[in-house]
Amino acid sequence: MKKKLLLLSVPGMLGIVVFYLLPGMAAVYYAMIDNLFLRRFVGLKNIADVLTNENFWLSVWNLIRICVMSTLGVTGVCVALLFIIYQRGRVPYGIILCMLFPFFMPTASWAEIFQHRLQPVLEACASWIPFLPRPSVMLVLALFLWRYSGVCLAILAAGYGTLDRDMLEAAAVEGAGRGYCFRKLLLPSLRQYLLLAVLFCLSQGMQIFREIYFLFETNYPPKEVYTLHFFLNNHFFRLNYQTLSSASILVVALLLPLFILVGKLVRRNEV
Amino acid sequence: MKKKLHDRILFLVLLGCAFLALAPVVMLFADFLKSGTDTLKIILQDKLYRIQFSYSLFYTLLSASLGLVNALPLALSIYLLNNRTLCFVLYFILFALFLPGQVTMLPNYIIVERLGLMDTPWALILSGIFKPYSVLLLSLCMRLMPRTAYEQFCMESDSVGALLWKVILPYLAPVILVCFTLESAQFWNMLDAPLIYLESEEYMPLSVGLFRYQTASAAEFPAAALLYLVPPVLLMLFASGLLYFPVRHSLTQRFSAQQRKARQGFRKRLLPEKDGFSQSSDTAVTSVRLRLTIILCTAAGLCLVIGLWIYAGMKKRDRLPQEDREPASGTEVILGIRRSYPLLEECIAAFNEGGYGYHVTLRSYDSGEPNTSEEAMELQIYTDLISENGPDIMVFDSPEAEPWTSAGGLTDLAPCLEESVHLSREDFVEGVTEAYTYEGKLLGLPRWVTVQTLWGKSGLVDETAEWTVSDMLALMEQYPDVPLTCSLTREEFLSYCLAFTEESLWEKQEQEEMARLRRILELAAAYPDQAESMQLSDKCHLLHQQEALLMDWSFVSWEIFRMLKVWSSGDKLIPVGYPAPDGKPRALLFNVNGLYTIPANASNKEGAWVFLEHFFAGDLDPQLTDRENSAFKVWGIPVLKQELEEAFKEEEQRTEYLGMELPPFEERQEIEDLLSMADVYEYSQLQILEIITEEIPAYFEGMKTLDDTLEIIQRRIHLYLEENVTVQ
Repeated sequence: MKKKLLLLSVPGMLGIVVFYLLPGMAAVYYAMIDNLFLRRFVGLKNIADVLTNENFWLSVWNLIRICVMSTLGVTGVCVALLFIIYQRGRVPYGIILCMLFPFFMPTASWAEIFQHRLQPVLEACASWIPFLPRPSVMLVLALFLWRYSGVCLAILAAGYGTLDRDMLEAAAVEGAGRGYCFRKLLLPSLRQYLLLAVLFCLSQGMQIFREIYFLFETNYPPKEVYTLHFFLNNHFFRLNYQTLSSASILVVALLLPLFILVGKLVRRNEV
Repeated sequence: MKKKLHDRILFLVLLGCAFLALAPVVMLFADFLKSGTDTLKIILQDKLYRIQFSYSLFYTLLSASLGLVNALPLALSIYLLNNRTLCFVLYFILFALFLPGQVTMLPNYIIVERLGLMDTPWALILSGIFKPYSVLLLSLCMRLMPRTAYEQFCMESDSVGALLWKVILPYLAPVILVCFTLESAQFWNMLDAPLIYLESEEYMPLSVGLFRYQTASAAEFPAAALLYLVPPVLLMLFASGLLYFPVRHSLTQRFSAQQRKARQGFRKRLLPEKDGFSQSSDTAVTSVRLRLTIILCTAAGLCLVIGLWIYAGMKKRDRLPQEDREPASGTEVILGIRRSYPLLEECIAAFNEGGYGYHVTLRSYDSGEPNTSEEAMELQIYTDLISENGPDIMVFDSPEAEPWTSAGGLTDLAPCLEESVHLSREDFVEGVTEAYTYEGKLLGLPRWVTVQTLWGKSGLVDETAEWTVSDMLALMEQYPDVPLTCSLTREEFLSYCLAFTEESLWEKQEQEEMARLRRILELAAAYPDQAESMQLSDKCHLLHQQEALLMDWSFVSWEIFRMLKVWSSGDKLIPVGYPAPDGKPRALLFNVNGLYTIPANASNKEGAWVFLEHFFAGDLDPQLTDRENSAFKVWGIPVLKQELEEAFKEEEQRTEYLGMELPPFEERQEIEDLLSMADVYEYSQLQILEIITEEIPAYFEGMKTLDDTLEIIQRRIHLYLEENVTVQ
């Protein structure tokens, strides 16, 4: 059985090696040459250069900020909606389906709506309410919330659907309140699904580029939403592949503690 | 009563969320109703829409299904085997999940190219089926399964298929469906991968194709976008029951009994009998299997039908005449160009037939569709040039070639000219080769150019004086009621004032410079967004009447250039040039029909230079009998001295044009002066101008104050300039 399983997983592993591991190794090579055409070895010079580039740090900070804000926003909204679902006692399939819609909507359809119809509203909001983030950041967060809340709610609802309700009912019989049951029983039971939802949001947040690009239609968006992908993309089009690769290696290094933490959580089954 | 009210309020909150999620769809639907239901018919009759829609279905269903088939055993191995290698794979999946797409773009492009899958649907499918999130999601959810279920199964059987079908599938059906839905959505909306791997318009998925409707046929766009939402809606409706089905009940206990019965026959294996477990649980499991089977069978059936259709299409493509495809020859030279033109095609045909020892193949990046996305074309050119299969000759528009030179991506043509027996640097007009020399390297050569500059009337402007932006603003203040030029737009005014601004202006932000910039923006507000184009004769007349201070004009044809002195009613016109910080007047040099370059990683540089040598020397030009009406006529100024001399002679002999009498040709010196003062736009100047023209409308439309607009412009330009600070 084990041998058969390993044999069956070979194509998957091979694909990951070919489409992720090899490009990752190629990135290390590109980071150590002067440019794509002359290919002279320069050691860690490119990495040192990127470390001193202000725009790199600005883009990394923006990416982390937007990623964390959007992940917290989406997860918060989904947990709140799950609480409502739990209180009502039944899963509203139709509503979750409606909320999944944005994920399937083609980019060409929503870009124009957010850009021309929502942006003025958010700008007006920003002028009325002083503590809100800049309109450009709000626009990105609104888009993220709109697009990915449905998916996260679907993941949590899928978990909720497979949950053993006897425990919750027993707790209710013992006199535990709904809030207590939700916090102490339901959420811990759904921790794997919560982790999946958070990972999904984080991975989408880390890849957030096209969304911002189509919202602002430029390679140089407002400074506060200039994320790492703009830095990488602009260097790609300037043919500075060495800068692009060095920046990516640095980002992976920065994210290494996160990988290790999530990996350990996944392996130990302790969220 | 109170409980009911509470329940209704909660339901209203959920309903509000659903409404917010659906609001853009509702807007789209409203737009569709506004544009009329006839647009739906138009869309359905559009052949390209139908083809791209089918391809979207094909890519999505096949890739999502294969992705699942690929992810399930891998996730199961990670869950069950848990050895060091698989632990490493798990960490790597996490790493892949967060790796920016730009990093994998070039290596993946090279891999797909090496596999010979470029511009085929399989490139998208192969690169898309290895998605790390599905593996992670499945392996994580498998951990929720009681391990005893697996252990009991192992005692009964060692079939992986049965394990998947009898244990994993019923238990993880919702998760598998979530995976399938997520993967499908990603494929349904993919943008970058098709732009990188595909060239043919007909292979593009509709997620890319929709942008064509957005820009070109806005009326049909809502119908096109709404129709594109139908398959995901169907998938979601059909799969909805599965997504939340609680099928977990007593799986562990049920298992051993099920296995005992399973051995008794095939039918019993598929339809477990009621053996003490709840009927609803068994019905649920059967329903889950049935639905999943229907989904997978539908997906497989659709993939098969569309796949056969694509296969038939590709076969048909293969049967095209041999000359339409690239020849497999060791002496092949590929010439890449955005859009080809008749004279070039004629020259290539002459070269291929002339026995020069090389065969030139044209690679046009513009598919000929009227609305080919500029971004898609740019991405294709970039990835193509970086890879080893790039063209041997690349015809650029001049400013876009500049980054390639600074990165060492273009061959310096100066040594080629020195060694050539057919051509030398001295054969070219000096100003032109200087304009295209960047950091001491001749990055490319145009064959024809045009020159654009500002002209003024003698008396109003001085021929010998310096000409800075301050001088131009002073002239405007001297004649406040007279517009700077006729039919001037804001964008043109800004480009006159800022085209040759040095980067230091934006970096230093000196008070005096900033004050001038404010003044320029304030003055620009007085000009309209768009203006009607004007005949040159009218422009000259207005200049003569002093109803305009200057005239913007680019060389369009010899005849019109000669008519200037007739239309200017005896005034002496001076090419005063665009103002520049150093006071030296500038003219803008534009190449006509492209700048010919040889990429640094071209595989056949020798062949490329042989073609360019003969192309520039004019050896390949067709013998033209009727030059005026020839389809091969190029309207620019030739940059080869010999060709320019021939053009001068031809003009000296010409006395009429289309029945119109031409004045004697005396402008030889003016042309030479224009060429000597000409300069090309620098790439950074263009980027800065683009940023300004993007931000300035907000000020003109009163949405932002001048200070706010200036601040945004400054911030964006800083972002652009600082981005490259550490690069050599």
